[in-house]
Amino acid sequence: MKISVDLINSYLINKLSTEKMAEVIERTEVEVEEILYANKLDEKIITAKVVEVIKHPNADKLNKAKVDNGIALIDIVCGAPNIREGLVVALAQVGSVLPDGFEIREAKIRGEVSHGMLCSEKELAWGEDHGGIVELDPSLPIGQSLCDTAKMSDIIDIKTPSNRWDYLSYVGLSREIAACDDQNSLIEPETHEITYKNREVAKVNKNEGCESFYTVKARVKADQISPRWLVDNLQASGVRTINPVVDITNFVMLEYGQPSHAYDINKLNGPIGVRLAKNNEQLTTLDGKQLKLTDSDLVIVDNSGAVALAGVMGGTRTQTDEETTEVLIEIANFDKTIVRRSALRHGIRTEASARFEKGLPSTLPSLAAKRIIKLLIEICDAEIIDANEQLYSPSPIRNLGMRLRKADKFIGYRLDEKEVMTALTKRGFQPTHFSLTKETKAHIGKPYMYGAQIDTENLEKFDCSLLTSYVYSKAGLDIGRTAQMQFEKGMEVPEAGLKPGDLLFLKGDEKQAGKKIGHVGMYLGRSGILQASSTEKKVVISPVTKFTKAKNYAGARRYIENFNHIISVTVPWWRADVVGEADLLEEIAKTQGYNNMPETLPDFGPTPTLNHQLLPSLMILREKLVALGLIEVMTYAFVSKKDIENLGIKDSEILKIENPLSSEQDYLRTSLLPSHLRAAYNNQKSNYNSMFEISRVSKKQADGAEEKWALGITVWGDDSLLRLKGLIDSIFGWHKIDPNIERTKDSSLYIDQRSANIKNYGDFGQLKPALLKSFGLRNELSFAELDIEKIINSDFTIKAKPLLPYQIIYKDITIELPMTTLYTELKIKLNGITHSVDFVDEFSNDELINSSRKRLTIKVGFDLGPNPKSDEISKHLQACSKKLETLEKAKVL
Amino acid sequence: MENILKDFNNQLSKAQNQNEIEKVRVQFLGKKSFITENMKTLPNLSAEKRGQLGKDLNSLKLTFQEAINKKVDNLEMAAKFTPIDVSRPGKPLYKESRTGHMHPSSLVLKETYRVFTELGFAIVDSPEIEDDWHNFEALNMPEIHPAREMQDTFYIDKSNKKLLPRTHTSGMQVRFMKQNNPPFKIIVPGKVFRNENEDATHSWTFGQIEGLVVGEGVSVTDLRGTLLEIVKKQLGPETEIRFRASYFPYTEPSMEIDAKFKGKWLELGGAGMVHPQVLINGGIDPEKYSGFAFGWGVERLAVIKYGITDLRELWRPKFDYLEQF
Repeated sequence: MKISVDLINSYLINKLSTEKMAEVIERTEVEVEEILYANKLDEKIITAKVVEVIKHPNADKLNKAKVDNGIALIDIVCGAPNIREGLVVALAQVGSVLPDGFEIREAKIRGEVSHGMLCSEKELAWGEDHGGIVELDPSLPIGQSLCDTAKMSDIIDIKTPSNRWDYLSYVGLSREIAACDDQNSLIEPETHEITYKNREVAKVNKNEGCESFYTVKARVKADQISPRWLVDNLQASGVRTINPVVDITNFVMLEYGQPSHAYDINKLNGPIGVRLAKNNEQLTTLDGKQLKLTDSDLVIVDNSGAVALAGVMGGTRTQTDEETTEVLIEIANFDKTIVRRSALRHGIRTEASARFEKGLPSTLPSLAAKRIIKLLIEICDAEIIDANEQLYSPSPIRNLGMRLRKADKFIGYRLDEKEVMTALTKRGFQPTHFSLTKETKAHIGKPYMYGAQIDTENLEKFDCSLLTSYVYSKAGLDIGRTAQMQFEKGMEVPEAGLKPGDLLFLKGDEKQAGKKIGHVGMYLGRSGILQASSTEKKVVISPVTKFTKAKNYAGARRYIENFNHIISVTVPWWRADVVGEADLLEEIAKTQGYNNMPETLPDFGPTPTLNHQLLPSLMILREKLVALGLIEVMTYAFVSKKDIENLGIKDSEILKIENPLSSEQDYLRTSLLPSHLRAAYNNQKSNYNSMFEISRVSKKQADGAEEKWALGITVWGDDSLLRLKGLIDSIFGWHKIDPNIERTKDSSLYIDQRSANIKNYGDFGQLKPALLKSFGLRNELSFAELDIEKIINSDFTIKAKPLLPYQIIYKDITIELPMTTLYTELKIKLNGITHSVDFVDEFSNDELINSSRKRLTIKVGFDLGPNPKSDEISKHLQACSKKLETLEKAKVL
Repeated sequence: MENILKDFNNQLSKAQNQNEIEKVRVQFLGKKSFITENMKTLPNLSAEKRGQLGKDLNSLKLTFQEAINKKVDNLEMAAKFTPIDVSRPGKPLYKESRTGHMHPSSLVLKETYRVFTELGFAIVDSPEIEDDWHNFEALNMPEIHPAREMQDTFYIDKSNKKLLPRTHTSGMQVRFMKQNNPPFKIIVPGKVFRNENEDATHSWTFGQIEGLVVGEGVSVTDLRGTLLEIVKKQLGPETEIRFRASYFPYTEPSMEIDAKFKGKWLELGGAGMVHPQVLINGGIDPEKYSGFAFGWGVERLAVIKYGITDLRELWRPKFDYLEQF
């Protein structure tokens, strides 16, 4: 939101410089985004008066004007449609420079000399309007530098928090700025109160969506323009000027935060009212949108139907214009949720809805109305015909308590009681020391009402548990609203140990199902028990024995050890966001100043990390993979439908984004592959041709989503598959896993006989050329995706065997096999009859390839004890050969 | 027709080379095949029968053609791509030695883990796909709360459990509180998603580090002290921090944290004391315990530490760029 420094200063007793103001604002929750310094206009741009306008002899759309510059009459050629005699205008004289750097020279336009230029709003950088020349206040002296008479304000662009409606108002902001700057009061805007006249312009029934409804009916002069100060202030805040009445309602919205709407009375059919819309009811709003309403929309209506979407925008049918002579201004309080839902539903977010959404106090309309009346009279010379408030419901006064010693603990050091109270007072709170006697005495004699509420009865009526809950709320404790809750919450106290403040309970009527406790009273010491009594129909003090000796006495409860150092606080009406002790603690912390506080550390030890090893383990894994020469990448988690289709994944397995940024990114990836293929394409020319990523992938499940951590590795270029396999060997080696590798069958991604499933842990392989081609890739490329969480979490224990005191016998065996036979199959065959099996070499030549065969050399180790005999070794070797030749078409060489 | 299909599949699977496949093709799709013969009878049939049979024959024909093409492709692929033993030990990644490179965000995270571990924090993982309750409701942001606008949200499924790619890692707060007893100190690092247009300084996906400390008597000064310690350890002992009052629905009071790094104040992240209602939602008694939470972007730290100027470079991998880290 853009705010004018000058306008803020108009409410402050001690004016602040722009820099100082920004600094003070930074102490509140409001964020300063940018300071925009006003452009100072060239001194040679002056006020002037149009004395005579005649048609340009050579151009239809141009006029020739005689303009009084305070010294002489000069000739100006001007094309603005609004030029007319008597107008006070902004004259850029010859030699002056406009804010955009354009220098004004004497010019001949279609044969006529122009000694300067009359400026539009845009040319003065006052706004966006370029449709005509600026019409200045006619009372301005002629021939004065405009920079002296019409001073533009510096602007501060701010961001306000969503819990504070009052920061969306100049008065509210100024109040906080004043408090932070140690100023004790504000210069309040001038208002005008009018006596209630009771003419029927509005009939509003009690409605949950509307808390208060104020109407002002006034007769105004048509065809007026808003004074410069008003236009300037609106423009500084980014609001367009429309006509004086609308400008006033907008300005008061900026000032007080209370939106209002002006209707042309002559266009209204009968009195206005408020109701929920009917389904499919139509309304054309001021921005020309045709709305189809629903029964969740709150509307302002006249006898012909909807005239405005409550709190959002008015309709075109009843809008004011230059012919309007009688206006009806509606200044109401609407429910924040209803307004927000309507605004979201219809996609119309306005300055008004933004304010209502924050929840405005119901006291605000009458305040704003008085200001509107004042300005209507002042600016429009208005005759106020009626001013009427309906459904008047003042915001409830909220009383809270704060335990100072709890605040000490919360903030971290001992607070100074006096300082705390001063700081609260400065912000409009009324703090007092809590006194049990004072607090209880205040209510004696007030009428009893079952089910009384603070919000509606405003502390004038009580039932038994409201009384006790209220007294405790002033001490900062929430003990629950019902007697039953209060009974369950407290600490049990024996009758002999009662202290003032303890609550005593009586059991209720047995017939009332589930309600064990029926009545509560507060022990006040020897004076007796305070209770809101249903039999005596008021708040009374009774003897203690009325409880303790009663047949249905249930016991006593305590909530606090003593009532010392408790501050009771009355919350100012504009702070609807302050509802509990935590909010008061925030105020205190803020006024203490976060940056002046000492620094401490929590006084407890480290948190056990046993169950939280995954992320650190993944980090270690990253480091190891990098050590192997890999580059780590991170890629977007959303992919396109085409990506998914290319991988042959079913639509039903994928999570889809309902509101994606683009159709390129509307699915949650189930695999890292598509992102990696794209990355590989973008890095084809690099000296590196491998990368990895550790990210989550997800799948749709019947009951939601299934996520897992995936490690994706991509290697391309010659021999990509075996180079990738090398990395996989390392990963499983580090985690002491002997992977169960099987060839993949009928994979849609991988080439047959060049890919594998690793049981439980994932798969890898060389990708099919067709798939690569769809990503623009021509070279061979291999990819692995592993369930890395499973790998990391696989438990292993190392059990060290002592080194043997003799040599293991190693022998090479070469065997010719079909190409499709796997090295693991050999290992499995030799399991149990060898000490170890190792890969030595793989060999093939054209002849072997043509017959689809290969030669493998392996090294087998035998544990035969010390000094084995040679025939024993060959016996073992033969056993191995025999076993190996049981493999299909295998021949040991 | 079923028998024909069975026969076809049987014969095709036996075919070992081009010639044999061609034989199968002639037998099932040629001039004298079942299909062609039957096609010839079509004009003599009633319109109704003709339509049905024609349809069936055509679909059978397509099935045959597809199966034959696939088989031919497979044979060609097999000829071109001889089997590779996927179980044998692999080969070196590069013939000559090459240094790998960690992603800048990982470098920052690595540092982060170290620093927080030194201070006794546990590093906790949490799901990227959250439900609306953990991400918003449990953190005092019911559906209609205007604060939701601070975090433009992608939705996966609005009906069901209202799943969404988390907008912050704070969703873990209540989940962790429910499963663990105070006191504890944790950080939750992870990827988050916001429905915002991307430019050099904003990315719709980014890394976040969320911290949560809950215990008896945890105070605002503890928050201040802890964050100062972290920032000094991560950005250097000279670093200063500054708090500005702010508003988040799930902390109270709330503040923004700025860090002064190399003489310049930079916005780092947000922090605050855990809101009592959030503690209650996590099953923790706010009368007994208090806590603080904080969070900032991983990339933000990378920007500060490495002078990264365009966040998009981090998500659109170019090795020429990543080789710097």
